[in-house]
Amino acid sequence: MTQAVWDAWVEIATESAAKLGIAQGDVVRVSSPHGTLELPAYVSPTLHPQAVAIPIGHRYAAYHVPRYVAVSPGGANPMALLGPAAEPTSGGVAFLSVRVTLAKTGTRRPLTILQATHDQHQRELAQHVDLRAAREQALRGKHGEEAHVSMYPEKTYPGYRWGLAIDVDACIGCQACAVACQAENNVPVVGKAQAAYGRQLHWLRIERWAEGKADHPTNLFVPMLCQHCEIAPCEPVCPVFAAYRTEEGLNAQVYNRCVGTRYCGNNCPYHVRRFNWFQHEFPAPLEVQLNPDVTVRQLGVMEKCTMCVQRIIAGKDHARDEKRPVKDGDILTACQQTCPTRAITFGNLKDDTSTVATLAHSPRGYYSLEELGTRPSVTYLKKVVREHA
Amino acid sequence: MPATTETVLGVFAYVDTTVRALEELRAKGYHDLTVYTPVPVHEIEDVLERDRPVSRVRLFTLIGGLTGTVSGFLLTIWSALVWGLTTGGKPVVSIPPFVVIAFELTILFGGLATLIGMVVLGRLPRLTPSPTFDPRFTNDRFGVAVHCATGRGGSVREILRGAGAEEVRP
Amino acid sequence: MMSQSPPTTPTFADVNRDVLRTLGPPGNLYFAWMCVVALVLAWGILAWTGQIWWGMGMAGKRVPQQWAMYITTFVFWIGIGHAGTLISAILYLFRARWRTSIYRAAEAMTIFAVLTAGLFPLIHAGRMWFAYFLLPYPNQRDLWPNFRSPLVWDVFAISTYLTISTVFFIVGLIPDIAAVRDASTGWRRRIYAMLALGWEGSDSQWRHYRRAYGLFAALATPLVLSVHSVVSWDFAMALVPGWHSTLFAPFFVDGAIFSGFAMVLVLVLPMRHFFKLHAYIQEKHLDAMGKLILVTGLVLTYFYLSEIFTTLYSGDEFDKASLFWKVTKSYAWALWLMYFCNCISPLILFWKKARTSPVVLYVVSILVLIGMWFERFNIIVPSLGHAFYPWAWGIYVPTLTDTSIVIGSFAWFFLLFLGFIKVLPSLSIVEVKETLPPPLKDRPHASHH
Repeated sequence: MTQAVWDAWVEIATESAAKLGIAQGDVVRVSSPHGTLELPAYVSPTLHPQAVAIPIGHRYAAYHVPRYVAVSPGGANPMALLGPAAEPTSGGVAFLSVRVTLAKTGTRRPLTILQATHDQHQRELAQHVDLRAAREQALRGKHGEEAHVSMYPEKTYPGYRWGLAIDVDACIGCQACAVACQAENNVPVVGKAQAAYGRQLHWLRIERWAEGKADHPTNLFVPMLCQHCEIAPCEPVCPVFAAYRTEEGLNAQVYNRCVGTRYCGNNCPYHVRRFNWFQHEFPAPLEVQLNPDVTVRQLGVMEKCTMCVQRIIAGKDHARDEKRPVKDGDILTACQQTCPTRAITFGNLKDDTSTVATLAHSPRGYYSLEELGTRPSVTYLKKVVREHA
Repeated sequence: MPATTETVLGVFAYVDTTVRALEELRAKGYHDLTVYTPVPVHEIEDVLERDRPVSRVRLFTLIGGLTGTVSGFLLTIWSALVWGLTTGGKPVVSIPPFVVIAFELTILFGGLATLIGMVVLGRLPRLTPSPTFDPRFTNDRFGVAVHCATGRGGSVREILRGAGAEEVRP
Repeated sequence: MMSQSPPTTPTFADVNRDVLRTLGPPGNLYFAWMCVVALVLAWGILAWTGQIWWGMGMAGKRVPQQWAMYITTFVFWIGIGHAGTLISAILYLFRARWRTSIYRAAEAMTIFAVLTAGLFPLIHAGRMWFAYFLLPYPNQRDLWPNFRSPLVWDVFAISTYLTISTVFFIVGLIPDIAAVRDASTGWRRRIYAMLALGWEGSDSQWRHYRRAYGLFAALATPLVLSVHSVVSWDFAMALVPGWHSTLFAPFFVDGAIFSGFAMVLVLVLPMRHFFKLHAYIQEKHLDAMGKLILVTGLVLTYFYLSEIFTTLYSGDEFDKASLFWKVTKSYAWALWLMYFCNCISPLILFWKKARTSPVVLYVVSILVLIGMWFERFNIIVPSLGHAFYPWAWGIYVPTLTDTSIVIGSFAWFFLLFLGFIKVLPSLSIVEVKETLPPPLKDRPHASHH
């Protein structure tokens, strides 16, 4: 997962790139016996030095949309590099690998990469636990949870308290959740130039964090979305109560009320609040795809993950019709519904028997940037690793 | 209606002559004086303030300021309770931030009340100039207008001239 | 600018004559400046219109720098707006006599700076057409602003400051406008007569006036100190490393006075030169302002050092990383420029020769203004660019829109000031007279020529 967007690239191992004098963003000519392609380089610390990789399915000239990418970089179909040779065992086309040579063209085309750095800078955003320690903890239970020190009385929730548990161990970084969220919540597509300048509008993003040795790190994936903090830094700074905490533990954002001071966005330590820098349109046929249950936001408005509040309301209505409280499985958030590895679990944290509450109390559970005392409603579960000193 | 009082104006070029005139007028029992000066002059004020209370402007300031404090707290506390929205896990009525609003309103209301006090007590705005005013009084001349009973004008004129008035009228 | 007429003691009539002379018909140079300023302002307004039309994205803001040049310039202008009321309130209470010849211009500067600053929250808001949501006004849904938000404190602090400063300014002007009224004719006289509220300088008017003026000064003193403290809390109340600091209130107030005096000098020195006011704005006045800039500059240096010290001493890794990044990485040039302008350049004012030289003072003042703009830039942009979450770390690049609007704000300020100096007495007639020896018959040297 490179997090490069709106372009194709050729992934080159750090050692090979150093040997060939290729820096990230240098356009490289990739030649095979069957054809050539020119693509910007992506230097990867985890690739095998003798291998290069080109993604399939990016950047076909026919699908260039000027609204999103101003200048078409031209078509780049990696199939052009592959020969018609048949694979001996299956008899199918051998279309996964071919021997290539690389040459620098001397031009540059910087890639648009959404993540500024993959180095965690000791901030423990993606945490992991050794297998043996995890097993021990699972047997003995989490050692006593620290009492939360506060000048104020504990917050109480009259009805439900919604929360998420996200298993870093299960996340494979496929980004299906990000796409599901975008479709469910009418999140506009901003295009290459805006994405390159940190103005993408995804409510949910997948982060890749490097762990371990710098030259050959292990990659951990963290889905990051609004943490729906109990002590939310974004809320008290809003001058007009556009951001406030609901009785069900959601961090609500009232679009009608938002003036666009962006103070909340500055004060969110997770940078999950998204601002509408422009009026984004949904030209035909995209308007047909809009979710009628979700507002389309105007320019100048802050937005963010709502924990699919429209689905929560629908689920509560459904449960009320059946004259019973909401139970696990009544409400699935769009990201949860789409996750192929069931890394995301939604539910009522107040109900100790719910899956999400069980997971939230798991010994593997941790909060992102816990030391800030924001008390998120999203619990992450540490990745279990085989060998770690 | 026949006038029961008349007004005599003396124009002075110096502070000390003005003060001398004022002292003499007061000694002779003329207390209904209007003194025009281009700048506030301590010596003149000292003579005049002897039988006058301190300006009541400060009362306006006090009442305005207290109104500001009270309305600052009332506005913030009441409006927070209307919807009772929680932000940042803080109590709905959070006094420390409301102190800022109350402070600002104290100053704002106090200042505006002072302005009102000054305007009301100083009888501003004056739509027509008073008959004894002379444009030189905003430049470099001092004026002493004496309001006295009809017939006493002669002695007043004498005092003013004796003290060193440049000009005495009528 | 170096010419210096020998300081003879002017008489009351001289003061009226000299100050009223500044209101005479302006020359070509004045109109040329007006044209330049108006054109730049028009360009800025065009840029703002474009930003309202197309969206905030026209400016260079992004995640994580969702605040950038507009808030920088907002805080800059609020800071500039501190010198005027400081001079008219605090120095009035301390009876610092050197304030009299500059306080009118400084007060006007204050009001115009606050009027300029007041535009920026509007310019900055994503939906500026809804900015009135920040005001507490009764509406049918009982929606009130969030009084816990420092931005609402700003609304209250700045509107109070603007109101009180304006009242202070107008009250100080009343006797002076009366003097202008009595020296003018025709339609001007009618206008000035209206503005003077029928002021005559009678003893009862003076009595209430003086008392009210003292009370204004007493109210404005805590106000001056509070306004920039409140503005500093926009940052100090936030979580961002580099913002979350209890040091900010006094730090900002000192910086405000520092930059405010620099701006006073930038305005007053040309005024002194072109209006030939050397008899009123004397070397001792320049010297006093130079000393104030020097002292506030040294205090600021102390705050910079404390900021670094507390960051290092606290052991807060987020703060330390942020500081290290500021000092050495992408925005280091801005930080070091700020240190040079604010800490090094005022040191020349240790020499009296420098303090009394208009050229040196002018250059130092310009440097201080640049340095103080960058101080706010360094607080806002690099801190946001290197906060808690490394995913978003990055660099803000201003666009033509940001830059045009910021430069346009300077044009707006100078337009107001240029208008002011030809319409209202830019030196206080009354207060200058008060500092002169009163005309006494028995003291020959004070008599009329």
